[in-house]
Amino acid sequence: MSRTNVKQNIDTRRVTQELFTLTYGAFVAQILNDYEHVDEVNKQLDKIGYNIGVRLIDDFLARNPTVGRCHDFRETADVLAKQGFKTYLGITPSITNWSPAGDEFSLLLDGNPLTEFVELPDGPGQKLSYNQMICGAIRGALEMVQLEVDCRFVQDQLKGDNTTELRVKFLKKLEDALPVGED
Amino acid sequence: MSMQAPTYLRSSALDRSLQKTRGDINLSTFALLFSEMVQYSQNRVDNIYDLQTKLSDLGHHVGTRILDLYFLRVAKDKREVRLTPMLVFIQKTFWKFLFNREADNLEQHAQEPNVYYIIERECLVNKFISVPKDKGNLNCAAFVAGIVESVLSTSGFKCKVLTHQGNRGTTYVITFAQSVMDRESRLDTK
Amino acid sequence: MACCVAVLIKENLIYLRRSAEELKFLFLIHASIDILDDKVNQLTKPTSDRDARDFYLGLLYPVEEYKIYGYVSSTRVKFILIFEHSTSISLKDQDIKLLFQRLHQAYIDSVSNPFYVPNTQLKSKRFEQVVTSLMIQNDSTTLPQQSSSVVPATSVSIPTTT
Repeated sequence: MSRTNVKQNIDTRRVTQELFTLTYGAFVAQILNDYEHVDEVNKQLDKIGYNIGVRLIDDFLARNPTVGRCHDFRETADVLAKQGFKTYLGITPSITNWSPAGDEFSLLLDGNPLTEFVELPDGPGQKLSYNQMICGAIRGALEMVQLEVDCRFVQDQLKGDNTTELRVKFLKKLEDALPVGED
Repeated sequence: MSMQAPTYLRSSALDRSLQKTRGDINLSTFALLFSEMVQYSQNRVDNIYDLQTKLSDLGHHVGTRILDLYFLRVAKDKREVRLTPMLVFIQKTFWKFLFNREADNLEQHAQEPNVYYIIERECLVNKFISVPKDKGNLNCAAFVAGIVESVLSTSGFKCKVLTHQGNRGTTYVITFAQSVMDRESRLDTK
Repeated sequence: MACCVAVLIKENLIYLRRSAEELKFLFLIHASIDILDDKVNQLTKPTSDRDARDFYLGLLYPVEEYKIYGYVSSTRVKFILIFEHSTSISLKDQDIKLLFQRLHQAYIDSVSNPFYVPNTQLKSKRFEQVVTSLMIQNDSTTLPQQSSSVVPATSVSIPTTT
């Protein structure tokens, strides 16, 4: 921890959570306006998240120089929940429901700054995956460290479920991954 | 009709205390989201002017919602009714609430009493957007201008806010409607 | 406890809930608008005895069986609570102010929903719940059947005199 000074410097760069929450809301509402089908909106949010994820990982590794290569998927899950989520969304989801093979787990998001004021619109809007950006971000960030994962919400409080559950499934290790921008 | 709402709604809406503790979010998260928002908007317009309008509209969406949030959570129940204290509030307190620091200057136009400037040497949202050469005039501070415009307008100070980029940094040019100035001078004489 | 809850932007009623479907509430609300506007304008005068920046405007006016209270936010959103005389006797100014603050908080949360279009009817489940709580709270004797007698929000336009 010889880099405390640097770290403190970085940590003072913060904005109020309301600004972030409402900005994301404005953005999602705009996209919902622009597309006819909610499925398309969900895809857009995922793509936006992906673009964010592939950039975020650099910042993450710069802030957390102690994080090395993960030995297994469990370690990845740990870093993701306890450091990734904590740093960028200020929450620490709990990790549960490991598959027997250890290649799939769930993150339970209890209270999430993105959804603080959100009530989904009636009609087709009920199918909106408001948090989809998070899936994209995880996929993007892990891809940059040579992990291909599948990421999706299986429960969503905004849709009336008791919890918000994000399922992350390991697909494969990427060999010579090239940073490909998705478009 | 609404009696069957799931339990999480009940707990979050009813048990939440009035004064919620203030939370911050990492600037990188916001910066990357903002930059995606600019790119997304850019793909849907033909020119820089329309892009700035779009950003300003998004700012409006945020601004109409954020002022009341601020008042209730941070400042309890106080409001500004006069123009100058309101502008000082925007420049100092509100800016600090949004970006964790105050805007650098607040000035009034020498000749036109209804024009004010808020000046920021280093505008946060411009700092992390590198504008491509062919879009040299793009000013992403239009988003912040949209927030300021809607915050002022919804609190009874109808105005138009434009941005100007110069050697002093980002200037927000606030032009108040005549009705606002009339009210001010009425209040002055009382 | 409260028998009528109303939220207005200028003269537009964006939310209304009443314990009974009675027209008289609409008249009471309508009469309150002018009083609220007056009070807010009074407040901008430096001579006013009340703190000019306080949202809570107190008792607007009492009529035979009701007491009507008002509250105006920084963004000039008007909140009106009407109580039956009998139930409001025990209520202090501080209590009512607190009810308004809860209503205001709920309002802010609902309009902060990105999918709410400003200045349109409020149709938020969360908001409904808070209003329900304001209408049944402390009314322990009539708690269970209360919810069914509460008339859900309807969009009603108030006739304007001007």
